[in-house]
Amino acid sequence: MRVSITQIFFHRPLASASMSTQGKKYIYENFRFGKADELSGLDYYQYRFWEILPGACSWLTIIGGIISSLLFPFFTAIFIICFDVFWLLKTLYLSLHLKVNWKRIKDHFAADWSKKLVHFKYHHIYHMIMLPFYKENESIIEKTLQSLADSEYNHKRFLVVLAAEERAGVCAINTANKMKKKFGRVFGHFLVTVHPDGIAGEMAGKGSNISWAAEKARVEILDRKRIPYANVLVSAFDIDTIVYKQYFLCLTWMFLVSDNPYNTSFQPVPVFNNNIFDAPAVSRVVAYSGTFWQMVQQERQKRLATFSSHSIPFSTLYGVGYWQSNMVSEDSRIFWNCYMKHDGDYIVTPMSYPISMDANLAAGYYQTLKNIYKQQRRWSYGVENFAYIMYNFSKNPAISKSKKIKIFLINLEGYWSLATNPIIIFLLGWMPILLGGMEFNTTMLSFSLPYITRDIMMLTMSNLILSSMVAVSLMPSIPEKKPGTRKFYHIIQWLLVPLTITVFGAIPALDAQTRIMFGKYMGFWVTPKHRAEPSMKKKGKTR
Amino acid sequence: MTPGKQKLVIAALFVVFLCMIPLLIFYSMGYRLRVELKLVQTGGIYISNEEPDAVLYINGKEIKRSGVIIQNLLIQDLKPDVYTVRFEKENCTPWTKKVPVKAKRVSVCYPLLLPQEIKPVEIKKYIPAEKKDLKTKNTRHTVNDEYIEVNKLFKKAAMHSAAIFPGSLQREVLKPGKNLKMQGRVLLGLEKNRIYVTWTGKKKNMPFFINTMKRKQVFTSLERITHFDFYPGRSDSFLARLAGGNLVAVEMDTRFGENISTVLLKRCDRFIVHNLTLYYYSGSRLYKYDL
Repeated sequence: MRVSITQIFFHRPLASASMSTQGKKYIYENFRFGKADELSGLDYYQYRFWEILPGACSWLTIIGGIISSLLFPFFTAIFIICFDVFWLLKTLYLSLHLKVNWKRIKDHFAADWSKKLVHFKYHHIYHMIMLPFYKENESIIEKTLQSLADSEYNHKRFLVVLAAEERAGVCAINTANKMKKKFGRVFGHFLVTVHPDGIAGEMAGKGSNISWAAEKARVEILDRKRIPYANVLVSAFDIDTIVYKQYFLCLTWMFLVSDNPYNTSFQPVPVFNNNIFDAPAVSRVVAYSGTFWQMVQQERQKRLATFSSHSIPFSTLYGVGYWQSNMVSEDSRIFWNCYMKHDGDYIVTPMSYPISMDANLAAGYYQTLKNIYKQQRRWSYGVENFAYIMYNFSKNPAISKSKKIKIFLINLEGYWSLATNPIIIFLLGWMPILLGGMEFNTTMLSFSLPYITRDIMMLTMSNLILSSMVAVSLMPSIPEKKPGTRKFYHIIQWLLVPLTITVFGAIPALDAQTRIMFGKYMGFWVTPKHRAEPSMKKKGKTR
Repeated sequence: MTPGKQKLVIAALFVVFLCMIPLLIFYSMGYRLRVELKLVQTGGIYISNEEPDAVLYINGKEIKRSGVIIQNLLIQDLKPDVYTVRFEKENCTPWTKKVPVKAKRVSVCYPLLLPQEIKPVEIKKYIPAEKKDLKTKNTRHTVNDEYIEVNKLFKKAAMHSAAIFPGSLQREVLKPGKNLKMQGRVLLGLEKNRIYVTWTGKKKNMPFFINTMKRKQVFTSLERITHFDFYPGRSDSFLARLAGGNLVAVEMDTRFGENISTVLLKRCDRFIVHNLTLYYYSGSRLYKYDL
């Protein structure tokens, strides 16, 4: 039987909670659980409770909204008005953050990071770039590697790890070898790893592949070349990640100026614009909405967790046993792993520096919509972290209660608002009128409700002007083949927001929460990468 | 953004929230602040309407005009009182009603805008022979399929048993017939030359034009009512044919005790309503009119 990277790393099988609870001291390694099924006894029920809670809160809100519309339409209408105002002010608050971060990104993008590094000794810093892939085609991988080759840093300090999957077949391995042949000499080291299929205790997906690759890189590069772990910064990139020229300079600077550089991860802003001119409007709006959310979070460091492509010191990564391989959302879980390992003394450093990724695009329109939904559901499945966090909190006395309560509330509110807020605004808002009956339907309140909701929503939607401005500024130059009028479509596309935040926001989130609530755990779904034609024509321009 | 600034913004927005909420709630409930800083309770009138470019007058003063996109009109800030509401549209008979307005309540009206002049289309029994057929001396007329279909509808309507207005209002015993018509949960019954309306649904779901669970008279005439049916597409209005040949459109409203009736046709011998269309015989001629 093949053994997982966790077993290799910790030199023992995953410990059961009952073992760990015997000792009073919290041992992080004993609590790297992916789901409740891995536990037994009371620990199982506790973990299940935390898995159920977010979904239960969301469903309780929706069902409660319908029932209260029927029984107490007057109070429900009042609640909806309050909620509309809350939504307006929340949007305003988030827009302020978006605007501040937009300016910060522009400043960071315009800065010359090599000049900033002049006063630092940084040539000892290595960058290990993890590129896990599945069946993505050669051109996508090539462009990613080319962007690394074009980036400004000593390429001999680049340790590129192209992580293939055995289950993807010979073709993927051949592609990896072909890439090694082409780029092998450009970088200091170029390692191709093949993650074996069918390892017990692992979930097939990015987390297990990347962890396998990281351990291989440690043994075959770092140990062999005697490179100190503390001098290596790992950038875990999705295979479609295109870095801008000074990404690694910026990352190095941020690492060097950090007060606590080994207790932090580094989060760039993912901008899904590699194929933005080929993606349909719905895909663009969903993609930019994701970017905006990350921009907002960059300004709220205490709420920031790692997402998608991110960077982390190797020694820290090694200390936590790499990314978890028994769950879906390894990109955000790694932050929580580090948080627990360091007893809450761990943060994410917002880089406010962009990286480019692909917006969702498939060969057909319907397939694109389907993929958007599936991707959003996978991202929303980050709700699986909630049970992990709360369960670990219950076992780790070193983290203060106030921190625990704060994180509990932040997370629960986050999952709840993602799954319910658009539904409350766009659907439940009508329920008192539909179900309230004649007595309520002849009140001024009943008649005012749609008008007030409409007016507040109009005010809220005015925020989309800022969104469209930011989106246009993040867009690459319009390719010559595309008509200039398309920029107009890139502005009016924002009218789709009420639809996208409901259909591709709230519903997939509710779907993910419901699945975990009923113990129907999801597997890792690889977003198919598709580019209609070569993009990144004028990469240097901001965007 | 620094945590300090964030806290400041949150505090400012919280203050805005606390200020906005009571204002919006009181406003939406109908409270208004008068110039003399007095808080007064108001009500409103809601005109449910599907016609664009119709004008609403309240107490003789033009208030609003319906648009192309939004045709329904909500008039707020009305002191509790009785208002004369007139709703006009070109080529339609003006609709007028005395509408009482109560504090924090909205009086709903659904004006029945009837055309001033009806231009029906005759459904001929035969389709005239085409010129080509005349050349071949084939002068035999083809029977009009529509005429046959409509006549079948007339026969079907006449076949319904003349039900007696039931004492019990249980749905299973209600069968539509000459003297009993039902649309949704609104039941119309003809008894002793009087038309009654009864709401057969739950009290909570009562429509705006009915305010009682008991049956209530909504129409009578000195002339004998020979036939009646719901107005096409509406459950708050009906058509009644009087023995003299007049076809009357009646908008019922048990709330204000005012049921507006207007003569729609002066010579109608028989009529049926089918799929938003009125079919009627005037003498031996069959007409149709889309209402």
